[in-house]
Amino acid sequence: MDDFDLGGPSEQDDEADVASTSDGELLKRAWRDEKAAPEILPYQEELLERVKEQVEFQEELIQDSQSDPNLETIVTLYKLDVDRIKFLMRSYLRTRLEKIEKHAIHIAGGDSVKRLSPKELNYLEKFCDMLDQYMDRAVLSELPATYNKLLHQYESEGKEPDMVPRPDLDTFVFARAKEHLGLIELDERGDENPVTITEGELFIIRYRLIRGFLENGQVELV
Amino acid sequence: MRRLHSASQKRRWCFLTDAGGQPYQKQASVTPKMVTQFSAKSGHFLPSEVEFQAEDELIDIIPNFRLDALYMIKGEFGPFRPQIPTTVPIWLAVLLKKRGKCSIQLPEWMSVDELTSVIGREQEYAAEFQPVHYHYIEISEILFDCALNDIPNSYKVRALVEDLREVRYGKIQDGLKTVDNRQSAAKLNNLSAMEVNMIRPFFTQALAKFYRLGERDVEPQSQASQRPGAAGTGPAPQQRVLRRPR
Repeated sequence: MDDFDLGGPSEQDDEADVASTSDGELLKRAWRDEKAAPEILPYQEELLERVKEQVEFQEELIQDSQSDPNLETIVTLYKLDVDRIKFLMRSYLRTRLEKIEKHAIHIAGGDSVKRLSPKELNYLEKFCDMLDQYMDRAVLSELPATYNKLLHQYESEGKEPDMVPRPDLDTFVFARAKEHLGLIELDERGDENPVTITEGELFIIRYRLIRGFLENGQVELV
Repeated sequence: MRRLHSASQKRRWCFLTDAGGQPYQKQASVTPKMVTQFSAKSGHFLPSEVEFQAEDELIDIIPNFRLDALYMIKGEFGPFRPQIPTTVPIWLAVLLKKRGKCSIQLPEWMSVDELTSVIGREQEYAAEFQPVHYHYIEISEILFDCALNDIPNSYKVRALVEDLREVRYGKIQDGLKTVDNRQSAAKLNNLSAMEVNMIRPFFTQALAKFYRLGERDVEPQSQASQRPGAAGTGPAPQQRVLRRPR
């Protein structure tokens, strides 16, 4: 019966209780974080692989039992379970694609490119090519030579690209502390006093300030 | 003494639902103009997506059928024996209920006593939110929708949940009025999922605007918005207690 139970999540968060670390919950958290964060987050490859395997396993089971009219109710229950997981997976991947499209050039040119899955990387490359070609054909080729760059407003020579849409890290997000975070400096200018955040607290804050905590899994976005 | 769907409530619902894009409460007569269909972009959650999360919360049911345990991706549920209570996620309970296979047991926090006392506390301590179930709005809606006949005193319970929502909503509104331009974070302890989602568009955008305007503001202004000591535990001398919506 437990063939497909792969022993749950890996190494990290061993102190958290079982309920919040089942793959279903982890996927939900990854989905929430991804949806709420302004920038693209690291692809949860292991988690997605595990979930995908479980979905396939369950779908086979459903397939096998579908013809049996006595099992109709049970099949419906299992189907709903699978559908709910699949919804999360789809929405998670779509949210990522949306971000990839929105910030394609920024992602391609920076460190966040490491956060993509191989398939997403492929998508990004093709998307960038298409964007480049399209912009060139539709607009840029008609402009004077000094203004016809995709990434620069004018005269690109030795200048940083200044026309790349970037995620706004100063977006405000709602977050919950998974553990004690201590004092958080709210303001680089120092005219706002730091605030202490303890475990379980819910707060709204600038994304940039909790970016590190999110990466370490110390906060989750809601 | 209470009308379930007073005019003011309906209007309020429009405000609540419009932000997320889609009416959360199916029965509410929201004027078509208010219902703008957004796709759920990143940074936003549709009310239906918040409800989706609530459906994973566990609830007790009393089945009237016999079935071995279900081994699902979300976990193991059952076994189901007639008249023996068991715990399942709400989505499963709803499905079984709709097929007439179980009755749903009202969660403890939805009892008349619990609701009355939490509303009392909510009114007594105007400065803070009482701890309630994180998904209390969604779960109560779901249960009113599909398991009304399992709720003892359902009329009363429904009125109380509405009251609770209203008291808390009033506090949220007052809290949002105190948002000021020197604020770049706020604690919102005990706010529920739907409440967070409701204030998300306004709150995040207001703070972002203030922040952006503040960036150009060079003179250091020391604001007197510090209230030392309030709810203070920390020995940190300079700790600012953030305003929370009151």
